[in-house]
Amino acid sequence: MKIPHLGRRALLFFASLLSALYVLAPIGWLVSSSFQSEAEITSVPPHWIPDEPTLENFATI
Amino acid sequence: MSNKSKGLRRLIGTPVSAYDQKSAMIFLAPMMVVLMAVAVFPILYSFWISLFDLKLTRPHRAPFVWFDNYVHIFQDQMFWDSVGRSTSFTLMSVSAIMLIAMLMALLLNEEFRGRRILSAILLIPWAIPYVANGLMWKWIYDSGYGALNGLLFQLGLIDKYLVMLGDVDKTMLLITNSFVWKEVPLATILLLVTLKSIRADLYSAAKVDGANVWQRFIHITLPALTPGFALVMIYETMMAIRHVDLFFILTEGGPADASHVVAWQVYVETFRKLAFGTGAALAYIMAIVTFTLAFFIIRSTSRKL
Repeated sequence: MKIPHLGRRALLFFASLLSALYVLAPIGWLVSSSFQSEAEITSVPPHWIPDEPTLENFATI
Repeated sequence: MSNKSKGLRRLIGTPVSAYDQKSAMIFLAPMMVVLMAVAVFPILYSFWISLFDLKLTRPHRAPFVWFDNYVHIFQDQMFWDSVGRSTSFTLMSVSAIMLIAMLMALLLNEEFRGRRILSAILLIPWAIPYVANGLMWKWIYDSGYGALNGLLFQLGLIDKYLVMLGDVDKTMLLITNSFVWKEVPLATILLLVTLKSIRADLYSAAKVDGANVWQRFIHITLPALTPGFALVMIYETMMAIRHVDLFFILTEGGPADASHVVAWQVYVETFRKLAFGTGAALAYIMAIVTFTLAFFIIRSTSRKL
């Protein structure tokens, strides 16, 4: 039958999305911060996607 | 055949020659030396230290005080408060880990497209070192420019940035969240492996008998997961009782001792107050408690099998 099959797939999709978000959210912010300059990281409210990406932090390492 | 190898043969049940036994000892010797030095010696030596009043501030005088260190610890109110905090931390984190890991394991047990990618993603927190995890969460929870504050602010849930780790009521929950986030992948894998070992025809037989999803879950999945639960519970309890990295990086004992757990007390006694006897005694108490818990968990879960 189609409807239970679709419902099951939707449930799995949302569960996967939720788990992936739970895991990736902090990491995503961390990675995004690594491309931001110090001034941008400490800005309020935070920039989730860097407006001025920089490779300075990697160069320092 | 010599008597020695006859006894060994009866024990193992296969032919063993005396030559094998001797060369086995020789090959094992280097490993045994390393194991003795790295594992056995510290365990025995730290117990030995806990019987002395050893303070590095006056190392020349370290009287043998039998179990005085232990007695002083049990008489200290600070210790019992810390035990309460450790207990609540352990209970909160282990329950959260078990719940989230079980849901994720059930999800990963299903076959769907992108399952492999999801598995890889879900394993990321495990790959991060504990210290890196602590620093990351320290910046997320920061009250000046933290990501959590920013997110809540932008979602309109709060008017201004809140104090997070410095708040006595919130700090244990936040530390628990950081710990759970890091520990969930390992627990997920352990439960997933146990799930995969359940025979598929059990489910088919139950379906034929007319069991619905919930009944199949309660009567087949949960009982079969018991050894998995036991393993996860023991391991995560052990990790939660002894965990000191997050407490060190995030709060250093917490605003007004709100996050001052027993593991943190061990660090303070040993490395800040330099009271090695007390620190060793505390560490031994932790070890005995962990061992006892593990013992009871194993006993209560293996009877069900």
